[in-house]
Amino acid sequence: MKYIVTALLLLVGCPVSAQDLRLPFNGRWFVMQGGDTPNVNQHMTVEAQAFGVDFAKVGGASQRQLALGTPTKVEDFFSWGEPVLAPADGTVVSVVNDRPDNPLGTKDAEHPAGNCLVIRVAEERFVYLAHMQRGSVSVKAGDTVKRSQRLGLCGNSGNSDFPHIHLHVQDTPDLNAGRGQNPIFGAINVELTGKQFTGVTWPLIRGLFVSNP
Amino acid sequence: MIPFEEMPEDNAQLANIAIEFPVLEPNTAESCPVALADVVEYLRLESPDRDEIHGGQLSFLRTARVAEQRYWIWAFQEADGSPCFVTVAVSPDGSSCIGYEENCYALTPEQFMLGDYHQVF
Repeated sequence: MKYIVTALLLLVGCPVSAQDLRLPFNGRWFVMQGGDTPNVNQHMTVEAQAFGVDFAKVGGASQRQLALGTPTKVEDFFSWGEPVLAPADGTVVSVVNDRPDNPLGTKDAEHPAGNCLVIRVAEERFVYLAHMQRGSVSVKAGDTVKRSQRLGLCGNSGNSDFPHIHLHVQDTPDLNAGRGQNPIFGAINVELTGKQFTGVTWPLIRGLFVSNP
Repeated sequence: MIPFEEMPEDNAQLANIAIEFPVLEPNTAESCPVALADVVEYLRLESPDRDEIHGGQLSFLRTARVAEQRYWIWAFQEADGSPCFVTVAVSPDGSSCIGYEENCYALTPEQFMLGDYHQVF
């Protein structure tokens, strides 16, 4: 019995590892930006956002379309209004919830994250989720969140010209300070070069289609 | 088992390789941990035939152990008559991979699984 108790205490005290992240959505999404080099991931040019990932939901008959037909407004995208979910247990550090959503094709570069939240998931490990819909963030600083908990809705606020979810992990709660960490998601489904992988734990790179099991 | 370094540079030359793999027990489609419905759903995304594909078109061929991977392989024909293989490969950690390719070089199922294992397609 004492060994079980010791094991449980060790688990409780163990910080969230890179493999503990869950993709912050339901359904099938495309990795628009991701990877460890600037040619596949523009976030690599910003130290604090290094290894950041941009996700856009796909749909349609091919399950590869970002929108049905030719989109003319943000509401046409499959990503628009999709629930954004907590990728891990943690504590909300900060929330922005009042930035406007940009019309399709325009950006708010002065407020790059737009409506966003920061979740502390472990010691020196903070998850950023950005570009959410104005007024949709349903948690506040100090709240405890559980993995898969609904946090808000995908929008088009901040430095975003079409609806998508931005996620990155860094070692400080300050967007303009610290270093990015490579977010590796555990046991996810990945479509790569026409093959469907199930239950794999891989770092993400641009061009993948991903979903939770 | 032929290591990757000894694989032919041209996929067509795979057809000249003599290779055999042991079957799994049981050697049945039903033993595959990936449901046939998921295989069909995958083909509907990947094949040009899309919604016309159904499970009845798939002809189960065999299972195989290819190094550390467990394989299940089916044959089917696309609407234009192209012969194809579809495989499910399961790793020791339980992760799996569904893949399909047109059988351009008249490969045997064993030659195809060897190529799939080494990711030459």
